[in-house]
Amino acid sequence: MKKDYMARLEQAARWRLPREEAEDVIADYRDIVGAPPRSEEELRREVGDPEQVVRLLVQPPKAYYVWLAVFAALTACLLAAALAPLPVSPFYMLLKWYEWGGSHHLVGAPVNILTVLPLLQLAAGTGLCLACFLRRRNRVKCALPKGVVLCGLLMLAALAYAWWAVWRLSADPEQLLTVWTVDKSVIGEGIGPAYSAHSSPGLTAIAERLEWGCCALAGLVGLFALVKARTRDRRWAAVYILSLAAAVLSLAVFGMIFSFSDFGTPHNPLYDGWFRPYLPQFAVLTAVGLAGAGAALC
Amino acid sequence: MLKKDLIELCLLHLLAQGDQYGYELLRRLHHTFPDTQESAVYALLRGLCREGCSEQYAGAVSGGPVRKYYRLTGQGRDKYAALLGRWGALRDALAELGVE
Repeated sequence: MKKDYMARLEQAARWRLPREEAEDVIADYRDIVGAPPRSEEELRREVGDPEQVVRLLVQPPKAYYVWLAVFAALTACLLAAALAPLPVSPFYMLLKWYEWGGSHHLVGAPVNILTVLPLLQLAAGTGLCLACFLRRRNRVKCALPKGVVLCGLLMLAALAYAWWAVWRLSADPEQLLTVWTVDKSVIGEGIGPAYSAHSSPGLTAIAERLEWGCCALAGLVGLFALVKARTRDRRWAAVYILSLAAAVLSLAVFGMIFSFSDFGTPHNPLYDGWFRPYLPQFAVLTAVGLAGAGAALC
Repeated sequence: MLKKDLIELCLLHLLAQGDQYGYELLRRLHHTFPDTQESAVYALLRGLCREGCSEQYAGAVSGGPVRKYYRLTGQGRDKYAALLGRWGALRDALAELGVE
């Protein structure tokens, strides 16, 4: 029972107090809770409820409010990507706006918001996360928690899936499109035939896995890792950064699919290397994610 | 003078008598003020440290774990004197009214 009491107190202290202060308070309460033999009931009566014990120590509360603001910003960075498949998300609305505007080529404009946004999102999330959780004191060597390894591998698999999707689309685009029609009405206008194509079940499956399998899963894992980084081991921050990178990369690849799956333009969609303009963006997103995760593990 | 001030006065008074083991301080104060939880006393003790009125150090106990001790600082002595003055004034005021 005392173990439960201390576990709750540790969690509350690490969540609400700055790291060093939390460790100091936890060490003191190990002393207080462990000294005389007291039941949990007695502890609650004489010492107080674990959450209340910590609330009393959040004085002044400025540091706690700063942490809440950082947590909200990191969550927003992650959820902006993770919830993108939902019709209410800003990403979804931007896609619709592009669609209504008649432009499906996301890399067409010199500075395209759909290209820059994921990169800004990842850079902001990674920078803030590292600033918050980077090691500040001498390194204490201890084994990496199993959860960090497992969740990290899961997010690396999500990144790998996004790259596999890019390879699949670039290697064999025609296989992924089933119905082709030629809009003859524009042939006579001298701008060539306009193709429109419909995606195959294969392409739809890839898009859905990217949306729900990678984006949404990365959102859940990333949030879990963020809480763990604060309350358990700061190296969980590496999982958060990998999750953010996986969500953002999946979203960017989804953006490419959106551009690819409708060719109602006068350009020939299947020109050689049509996917190349996207690759630098994907490479930068992956590199930033991996470098950030590596820095968080140091 | 609030109860918080009285507990702070008691903490400073005990520290003025000599360095104290943190847990012992909490137990004694909880014994004196049974309706005040140890966590509240602990929060006040940490508050005194934050204000610079007391400081902590790790003291070695032969054969046992390292314990955290608290000692009074110069600033703590000033605060102790100020609180003692306020307490004396309050006690005199109550005595004037015949409150025993």
